Amino acid sequence: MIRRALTFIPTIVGVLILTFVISHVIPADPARLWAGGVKARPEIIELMREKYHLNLPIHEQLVLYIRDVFTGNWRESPMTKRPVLVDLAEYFPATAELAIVAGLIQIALGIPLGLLAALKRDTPVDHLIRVLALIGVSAPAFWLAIALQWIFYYSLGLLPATSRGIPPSQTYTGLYIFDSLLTGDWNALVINLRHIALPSLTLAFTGLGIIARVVRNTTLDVLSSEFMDFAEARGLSGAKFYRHVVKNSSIPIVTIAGLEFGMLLSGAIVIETVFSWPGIGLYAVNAINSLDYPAIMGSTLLISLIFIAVNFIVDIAYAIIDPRVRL
Amino acid sequence: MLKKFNRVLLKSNALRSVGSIIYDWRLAFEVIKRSPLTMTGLIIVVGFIVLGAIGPYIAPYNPIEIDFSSIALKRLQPPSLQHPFGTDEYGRDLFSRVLAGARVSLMVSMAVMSIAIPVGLVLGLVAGYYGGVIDEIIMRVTDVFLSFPGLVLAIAFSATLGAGLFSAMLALSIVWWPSYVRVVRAQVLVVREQLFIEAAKAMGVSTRRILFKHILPNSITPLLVLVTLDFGSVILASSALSFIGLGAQPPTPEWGRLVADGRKWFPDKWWYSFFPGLAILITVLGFNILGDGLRDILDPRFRRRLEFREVK
Repeated sequence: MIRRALTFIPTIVGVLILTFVISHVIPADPARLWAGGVKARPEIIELMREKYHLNLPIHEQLVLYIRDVFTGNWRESPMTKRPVLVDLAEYFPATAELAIVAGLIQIALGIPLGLLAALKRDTPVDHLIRVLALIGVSAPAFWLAIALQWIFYYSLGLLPATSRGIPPSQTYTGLYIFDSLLTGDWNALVINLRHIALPSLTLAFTGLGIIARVVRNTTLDVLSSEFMDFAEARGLSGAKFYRHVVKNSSIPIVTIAGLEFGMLLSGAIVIETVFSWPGIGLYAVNAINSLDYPAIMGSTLLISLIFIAVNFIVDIAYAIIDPRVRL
Repeated sequence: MLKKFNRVLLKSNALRSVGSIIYDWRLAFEVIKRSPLTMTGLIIVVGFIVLGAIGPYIAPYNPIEIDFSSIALKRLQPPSLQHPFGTDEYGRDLFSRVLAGARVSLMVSMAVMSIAIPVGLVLGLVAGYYGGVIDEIIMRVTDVFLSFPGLVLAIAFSATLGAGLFSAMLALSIVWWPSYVRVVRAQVLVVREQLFIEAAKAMGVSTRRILFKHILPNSITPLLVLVTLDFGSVILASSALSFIGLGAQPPTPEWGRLVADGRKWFPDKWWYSFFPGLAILITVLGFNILGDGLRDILDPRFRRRLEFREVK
């Protein structure tokens, strides 16, 4: 496992080099960009140049940049006048909560739907799930978000359309739902669940169909394989029979779930603005609109590091599921 | 019909021994005709391309110019016979703007593909064929690009290059090539071991000729499905970029931008956001249905099932 963890180091270094290239090499004048673009005052630009060693040769800048990332110096946001890392720490739990809830919805609905489609193959149910999958990947998430707000808030008045709800009396993790459970604050729990319903459903819908399709196809593959014939010949039935199906179809499902998590993070950026959900997405979009460059790059870096971490967990999951995979 | 189909099948089976993609495409067309869903996808895609090409010429009103004399009278009109999609806050006809938006989306997706595909193809061919250090370098770089969620990386590039349609195209192209490298390389690894490549080598055919005349045509089939699906994904991603304020800037009638503009008037003037978003949904759906159908058709397992059925 440690060996597997070590192979992630080049990836992380690669990611850092790429973000370095984006922020230091591509812009004609990085200092100006970081200070806020065309409107930036010359003395501030000069200050930036001094502070972030932009006068040094490029390879020395790279080394300093990587050191800064690891020591927590993610530059300062001109928009909030605070270190980017402090901002991100404040906004991150909301995005994490949204992505986790959406991911759970995807798994809780996607796997049963996929199994249903596989067992009822080539029936209307199967076709319906296929169409659902296609619409999910084709619908722009931001438009879907607006449509759901229209239906559930403006027309039916069932669910709140914006913001995150109320923080429970005590916060441990910053995940409101989890914290309200911990503190036993049921009132807050209900309010927060109602607030997360629309954003998480929107986010979940985009990948729900894909998961269902993958579950369907792998289940069909497994069911038609020779070892399943053998299991049947051995007289296995019921739970024992299906244990083989579940075990053998879990690898592709875990793979797609890991990939989908990246999609959830991308999707969150776009829909958080629609729902005024105070997460990294909202932060990043505000940063884009106020030309707050350090904040944009900080958000990018954080999201990709999380994505790498998720992929790492997926790799470990492979080894747990399938003893043939060596870490 | 059935007889004709069988004939094509037989003929193409002969072609198949050459390992030609013509086989797949002949068969594909015959099968598309029999699958209503795939046919629908094809019709939507062709419709989108045609509208993208001629849209601005058949638009009933000017999609960009503002008629200042009648703004007060015409602004934010609900859908009517005269304005099927309603009008925006400057009194412009939204139907015309959505039509013109088809061209913008078509342009962006074509531009992104025409950069990403050749880059991915060449790097994938080289990595797969030569192997060794070159392969290692290309794949490590590719992996780094793939360890970002695509849209997030595109946002970072696009924000660096400055808001605008051109920088969005460039950003999406930079993000899109790595997945093609993966697919092409995997295919090349299979093809290069085959006997006819060895034969070509033995005959002294030049490496460039082997790569482009022998390996490329035999590696391209899985790419075709991916490209069809990705056309839709690029349209979706570029509209998302425009929605959050990067990408197309006003007065360019880009679909994602129109949805964002319409949000200011939501939900009273629902048509403003609704129709541009619907245009995105239908177009992307078209590409996805077509790609999904093509995958089924080109998938050998599916083909076997089909041929089996014919024999029966």
